[in-house]
Amino acid sequence: MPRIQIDHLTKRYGAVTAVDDLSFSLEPGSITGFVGANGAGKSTTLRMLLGLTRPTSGTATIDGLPYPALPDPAHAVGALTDPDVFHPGRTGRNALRVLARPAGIADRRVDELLELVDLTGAARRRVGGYSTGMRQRLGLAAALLGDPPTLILDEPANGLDPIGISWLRGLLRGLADQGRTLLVSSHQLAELAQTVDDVILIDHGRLIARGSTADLMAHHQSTSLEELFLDLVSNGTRS
Amino acid sequence: MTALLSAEALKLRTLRTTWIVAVVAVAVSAAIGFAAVRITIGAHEPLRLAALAGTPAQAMWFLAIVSAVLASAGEFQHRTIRTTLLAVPRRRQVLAAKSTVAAAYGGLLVLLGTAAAVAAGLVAAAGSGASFTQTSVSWAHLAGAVAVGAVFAVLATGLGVLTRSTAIAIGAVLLWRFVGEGILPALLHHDGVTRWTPNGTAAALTGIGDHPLPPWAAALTLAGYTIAISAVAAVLFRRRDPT
Repeated sequence: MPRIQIDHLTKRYGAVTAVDDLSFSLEPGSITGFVGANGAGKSTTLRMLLGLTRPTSGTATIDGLPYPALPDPAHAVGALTDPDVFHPGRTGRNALRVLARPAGIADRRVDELLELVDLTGAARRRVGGYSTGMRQRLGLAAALLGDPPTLILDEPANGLDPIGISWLRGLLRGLADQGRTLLVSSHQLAELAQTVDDVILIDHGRLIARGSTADLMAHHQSTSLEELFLDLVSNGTRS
Repeated sequence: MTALLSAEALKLRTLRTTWIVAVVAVAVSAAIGFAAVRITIGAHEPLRLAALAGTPAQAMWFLAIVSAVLASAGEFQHRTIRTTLLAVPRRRQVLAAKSTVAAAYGGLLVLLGTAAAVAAGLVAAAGSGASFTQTSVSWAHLAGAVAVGAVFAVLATGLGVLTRSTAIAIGAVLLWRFVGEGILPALLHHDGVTRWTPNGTAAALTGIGDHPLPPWAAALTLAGYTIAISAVAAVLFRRRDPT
């Protein structure tokens, strides 16, 4: 069974079609880059996959189930939507504890993850005083709380400095090497190019290319993911 | 559901506002109790313990409402609702847990406030050398005040989820309390209507006001409002996606 399956997924907001009949599936154990310009429909797709936005039509499932039907979501999927999902008045540690509690995850695991994302020193400070990068790392820790086999990360590199981005690449690679399935969106292609195995390119809510990064670049005679993307978007072709 | 309740309680405990509200509740209630006794002594009226115990109820109900709105609408305002729903995608369960924890905190605020008002009132009486002519306490009215605090918190949780805005929800409550309930009898050409409003039913359950509804009718009416608001909140919470 595919870990993630998107089937004829469509989302319309009035006259605007944010996601247009999108279908793809992800098998276990790879990092897939979900790439598209700003407003291409990446976040909307991921939010539908996470049960935060209801599709107009089509389905999005994880391990065969829609997110809200997962019996134990924290242990099935980890998700990062955006860095501003923490109460500014709560400490970083408590922000994670309130998310760990419903899944029965112990505080010890919270402390482990704070260590992993290098926030142990700031754990008892309120999130309101965190930088964007720190909130982003806290969000990554939240995604990893339940040690899930699948991770859905929306623009995880946002707000990270070059050192943070390099750290993130290592983290993502390590997570995939453990056999996890990662779907990682980004509009900054250079950040992703060295990390992902496969890419899904979307534009105006539609799939325009899907395949291994190397194959796609060879096929379109591109020297970079960026060139490939610009080439595909300007042609508007499906492949 | 136990884990969910524990998570909601932890959310409440880990915010400074929760503790500030509790401190304000004690301070305000003590001031109310102290002032009430001084006024009674000044007017040469008998001091009654039951009356003193009831003095902070209205203020505590309001604080219970504010806390519940901050905990519910606040999740939308700070966008923590996203992580909340990722952790617990079943939205009705989230609403139920939030309502339950808000109710417990609302009831607790009334208890704290009552204790503070009574303590401060006793200090005020002792300071003036006055003594209480009646020392009996109406446990039914005290239980009523605690229950109303809890039920108003549930109502406010629903309102917070409906409006998704702390300012709109608290504004609506104030507008209703100070304008709506005032003009309702004139609008409906019926003076008795105030007995049926949320505040009228709350008064009936705590033994204040003239010609109140019988307690059972007041309890049923208040429960009706609360169930109606919670049900609408549950339906819209399921339907509307968080931003």
